[in-house]
Amino acid sequence: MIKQIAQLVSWLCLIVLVLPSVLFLTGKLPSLNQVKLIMLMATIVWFVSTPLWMWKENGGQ
Amino acid sequence: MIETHEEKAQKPSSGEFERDPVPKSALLGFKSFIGMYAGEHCAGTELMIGPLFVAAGVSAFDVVVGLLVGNALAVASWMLLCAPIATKARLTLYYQLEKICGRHLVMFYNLANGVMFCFLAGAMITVSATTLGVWFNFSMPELNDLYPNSIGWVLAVVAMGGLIAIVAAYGYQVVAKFANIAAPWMVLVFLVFGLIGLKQFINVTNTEITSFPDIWTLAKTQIWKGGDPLPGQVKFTFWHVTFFAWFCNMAMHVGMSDLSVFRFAKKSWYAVASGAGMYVGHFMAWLCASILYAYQLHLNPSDTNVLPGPLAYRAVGLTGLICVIIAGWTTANPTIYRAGLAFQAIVPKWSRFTVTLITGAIATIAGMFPAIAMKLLGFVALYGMLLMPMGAVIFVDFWLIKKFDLQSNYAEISKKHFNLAAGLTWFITLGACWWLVQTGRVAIYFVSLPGWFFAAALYIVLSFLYQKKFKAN
Repeated sequence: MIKQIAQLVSWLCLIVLVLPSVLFLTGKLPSLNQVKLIMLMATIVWFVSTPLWMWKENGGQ
Repeated sequence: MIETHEEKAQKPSSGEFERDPVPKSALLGFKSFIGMYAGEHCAGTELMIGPLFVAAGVSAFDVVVGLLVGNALAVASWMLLCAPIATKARLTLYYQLEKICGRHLVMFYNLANGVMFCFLAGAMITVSATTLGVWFNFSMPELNDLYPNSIGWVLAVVAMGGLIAIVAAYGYQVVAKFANIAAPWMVLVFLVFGLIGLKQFINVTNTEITSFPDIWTLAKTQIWKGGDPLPGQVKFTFWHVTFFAWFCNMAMHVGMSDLSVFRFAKKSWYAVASGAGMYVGHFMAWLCASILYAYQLHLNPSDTNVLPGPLAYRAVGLTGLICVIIAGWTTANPTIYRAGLAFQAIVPKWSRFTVTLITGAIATIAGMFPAIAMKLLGFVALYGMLLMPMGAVIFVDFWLIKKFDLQSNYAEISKKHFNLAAGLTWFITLGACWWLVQTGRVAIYFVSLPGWFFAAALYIVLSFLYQKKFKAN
């Protein structure tokens, strides 16, 4: 169950990572600083959640 | 898992199918190869190559179409030259070479390969070290610098390179797993570089975008404008871009290094998976990185420095810096490891730990010299050229040599440690290519194409003479 939740969080992180830049490109998100902040948060969550399920798939202990 | 397989594949002394064909039970599915190529070809050096295209004065058509064509040719080379031999013989590159060339000639090959890996890892360390300049504000190398230009820069490279080398020596596997975790995130951060850069261009030029042709006009007139290259750079045309994209991994496909990888493939067409690496890393990532540099030049034409750290930081802040560090680190790690393996094959009594540390130290010293990173386009072409003749030897030995009534796997059959025909083919081809480049007859980006045919023909001729002499004896 934890693995599934972590996987879901990881995939959401990737969406959140890209979405602000798409909105910035289309002019719907005017502040680049906001884009940077959201990307940083998505990055932190990605590197917390992804090892929870991908580390073992990669043969980790 | 992917890196682990690749590590096994690259490892000349792994003990797993090292001197035997890979059995059916160990074959891998198509997805394994997609992940491996997509991750491996999205490296820190992509952040150098994209900007260097802009510095070389490429036009929008030349860079976009040149990369589409060149990457297609690279994938075709994997599919038609490398993978068919890999899936028929199912041997490592080293064992295949040893059967043809003999153990002593393979040592020369390992030495050449190891040295080039060290320099490549050095360029990756250079890329990662540029991130420290953002925090510590020391003087960083400029576009035409060949030598380190500040104490701060040297210390930054020592810190970054030392860390990478120690981690590679202690925990290659851990970094390899971390690289797999970082790969999807990293690919998307590269994409974001391009999206942000594009928007910045739209804003600064007050361009109104309503359709795709508007973006193409912006690309032609503002991003990849063509014209003269920056001082000290070679002008890149469509052909330069095409051949660069085709040959930048020449050591792997035409040079047959990836025999060790595709011996695990069930079918030779799995080599189409290399397209994932080419079109993600060598198309999208190069174009996105080049947009960031073009924007820097647009704002200040005198700021020609290619510094991935500051470029990434300006675009996406701290995430960009993390991306540059991880991209450099996760790709320098296996490169140092592979260089260590190549050297360890020469000095097998040295421990893996010692060899990796020494290799990391050499790569760190190389990384201090910005010449390698700033001249990366030429260096990568040189790397391909250096190993290309041995790829031609393997191709001819596998497919053609019996048609000329000659013996394949000659070193194994004759129990020789140095196949003179193969050795001379390598050295004479390199000499001829070097002469063509040095005399200005053919640029280094193109010379490997005639070089391959020359090497193939020369190996047949020399084998005819050499094997006849052996038979007579």
